[in-house]
Amino acid sequence: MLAPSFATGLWENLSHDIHYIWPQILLMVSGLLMLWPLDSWLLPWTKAEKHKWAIPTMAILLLSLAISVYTPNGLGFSAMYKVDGLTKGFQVLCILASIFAVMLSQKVLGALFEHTAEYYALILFATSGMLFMCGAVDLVTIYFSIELMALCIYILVAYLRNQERGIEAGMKYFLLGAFSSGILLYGISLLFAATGGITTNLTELNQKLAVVSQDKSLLVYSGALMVLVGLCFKVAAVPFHMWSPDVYDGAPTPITAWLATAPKAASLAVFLRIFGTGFHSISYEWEAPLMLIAGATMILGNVAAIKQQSMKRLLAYSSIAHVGYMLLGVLSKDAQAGAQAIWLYMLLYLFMNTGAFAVVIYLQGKNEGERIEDFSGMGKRHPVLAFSMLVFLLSLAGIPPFIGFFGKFYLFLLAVEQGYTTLVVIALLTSAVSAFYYLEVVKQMYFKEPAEGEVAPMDSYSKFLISTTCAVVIIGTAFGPQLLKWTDDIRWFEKETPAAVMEFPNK
Amino acid sequence: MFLLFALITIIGALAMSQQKNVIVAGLCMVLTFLGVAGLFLMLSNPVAAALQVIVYSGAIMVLVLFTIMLLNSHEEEPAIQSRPIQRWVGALLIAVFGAFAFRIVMGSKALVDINTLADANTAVRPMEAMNLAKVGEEIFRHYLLGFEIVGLLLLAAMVGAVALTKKEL
Amino acid sequence: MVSMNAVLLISFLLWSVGVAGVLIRRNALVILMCVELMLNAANLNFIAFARMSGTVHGQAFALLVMGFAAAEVAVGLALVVALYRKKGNIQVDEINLLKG
Repeated sequence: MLAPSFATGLWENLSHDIHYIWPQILLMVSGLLMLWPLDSWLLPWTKAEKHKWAIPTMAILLLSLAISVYTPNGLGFSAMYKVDGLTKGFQVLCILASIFAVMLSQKVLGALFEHTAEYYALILFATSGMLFMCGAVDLVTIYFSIELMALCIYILVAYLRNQERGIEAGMKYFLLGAFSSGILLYGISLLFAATGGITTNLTELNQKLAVVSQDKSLLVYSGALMVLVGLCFKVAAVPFHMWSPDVYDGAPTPITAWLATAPKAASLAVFLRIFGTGFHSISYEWEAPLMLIAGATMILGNVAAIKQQSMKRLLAYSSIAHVGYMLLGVLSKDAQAGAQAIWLYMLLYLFMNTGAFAVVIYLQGKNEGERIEDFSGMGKRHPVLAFSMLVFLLSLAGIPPFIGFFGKFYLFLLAVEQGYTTLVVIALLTSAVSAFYYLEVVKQMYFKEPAEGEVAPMDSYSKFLISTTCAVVIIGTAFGPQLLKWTDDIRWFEKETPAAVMEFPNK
Repeated sequence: MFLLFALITIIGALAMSQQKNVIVAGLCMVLTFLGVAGLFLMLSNPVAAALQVIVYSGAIMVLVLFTIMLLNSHEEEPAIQSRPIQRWVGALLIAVFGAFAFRIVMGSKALVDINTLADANTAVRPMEAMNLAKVGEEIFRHYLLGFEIVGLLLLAAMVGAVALTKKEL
Repeated sequence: MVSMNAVLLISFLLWSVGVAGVLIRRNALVILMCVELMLNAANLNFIAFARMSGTVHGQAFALLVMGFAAAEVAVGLALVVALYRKKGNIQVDEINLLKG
């Protein structure tokens, strides 16, 4: 008697809210289908091994991008998942980053004969985890979607399992990631305890924590702190950044480019959800630690980048520093403005960073590009490439004509408005430091004698990617002052629909 | 009884983290998991206790022990360079932290409050919520999305584990 | 009646042993087991406080965490095996959190 009603009830529950998660469903199902040994007759038009999986993957990602933009706003799955401007905005960032990663992967994987369905399926799974992260408004969904993304990334980092470096990086990332997830989960359990074992929903948590008695504040404090630590591991903010350079160095370069953007965008969305909604009422608990973390991240990220010899490590430290800037937006008391500034910054960072990594990957094909000295004389050997790299680096440094400047400008302006003047001063000083090491690379490119070496042909994907991102970075400058207006859509979905009560049919 | 299981748990955990031989450490870990299962029973939650025994002691530890034996590296090699200062600083930090936490957790008025609340609650609400049907319903209704994500996570883990350990793809 | 103080204390001790183990030990497998300890400590909290409030929420969370722990162990062991094939041992020297 139970079985049919159970199945129908399950289906009803699922279909009730399924329209919120079509993009994820698309990614999951197609990732699943890719793993089936159907490819020989499912994809008959591509006999060439090279493009067999990349093109379908990109098509699927583009499709889910389109769907995610047109998903209706709302709150579903027993108030565990919410689609609003924030969700959509960060979902777009994550999907874009994944598309770029797939494009960048072509050359690297092609050279190593590692084109496999698993690689792309894992990228799709991880992306769907990120999409869940962007919309998760309950600690349950937040935790498990973070872990879904993280598990896929551990595997992708170690994906080239014939290279010892890759596996070591994967191992290190895995152990530290699992450690941080243990901290995060324990923090969640303490918060759950502090509410009396009733709820993990962020909105309810906010109300409950606000009225938590003075005696229980220890539980709240340590819980919030542990959640903060766990999330800081995921975005590599400073006391918890030590995995980042090694992992970035050891991972396959396309995955590194992806790591620097997509998981960070998704984690920042979680940051905004948790600290903007869930812990809003207890901001006095986490404000000071987060300020310290943001400041330390900016300082250490930029200072440590100066002495790096490897380009990938330099970009790793620079991404740590950029996260430090973006944490300023999380600190903002006006959570919505903070979200908009972070989204804009992340979007611009996505283009600059992907472009820079595309150049590194191009040079890597000739067994160089790893070290900064390999860039010497690039201005003479590859004038176009060197020029794009110049644009990307100056933009990363936030030097005025380029769009990186506008991202920083809005973020810092917001922070000043919110009264974090000290942090903004630190941010400005460290930006000056960052200009130093970015310009060091530029100096290598234009004012050093070239090392000998012939020009290798570029594959069409990286050519396309470099030119597109470069064009975006340059053309974007013209629109700089208007950029912030576009972010108006990154809005909280204010009206809270009451969570529809879902009942099993009478059994 | 509660104290007994608690002692089993903590002693197992301590022994595990100190044991040099990995196989023995794994067996200590099984002890800990059984202790935790006992604690779940004491919290009148037989479902969680059974699952704890099945999943952790049964599946996870068997997997870990198999891997240990497969890899045939039981002993932890001594550190290449010992870092005594860090070791001591770490131990000191942990001790201070632990003592601090102990004092606060035991002496906190908050938890006494929770404690009385708990007693009040159990008087009112018996453990009818703790049966498998209720949990199942909860998972498929309230926690549906979480359940789906965990399902996908298991699939991804399986795919990844196969991809990592296969010699040729 | 089991007091919540005691449960919180035990779960905290369990968690601390796990953290200490991750920081001190160098064998990847032992670190993996210590992480499992941390997850178990959190589970203990969930179950205890679900019991306290008489709701099912915490239990369902704990069960999902068990599922996740299994997945995590699978990936971890796969990585361990892959590392062992390459390096011949599974010691992790560089992973020292105290180094900063």
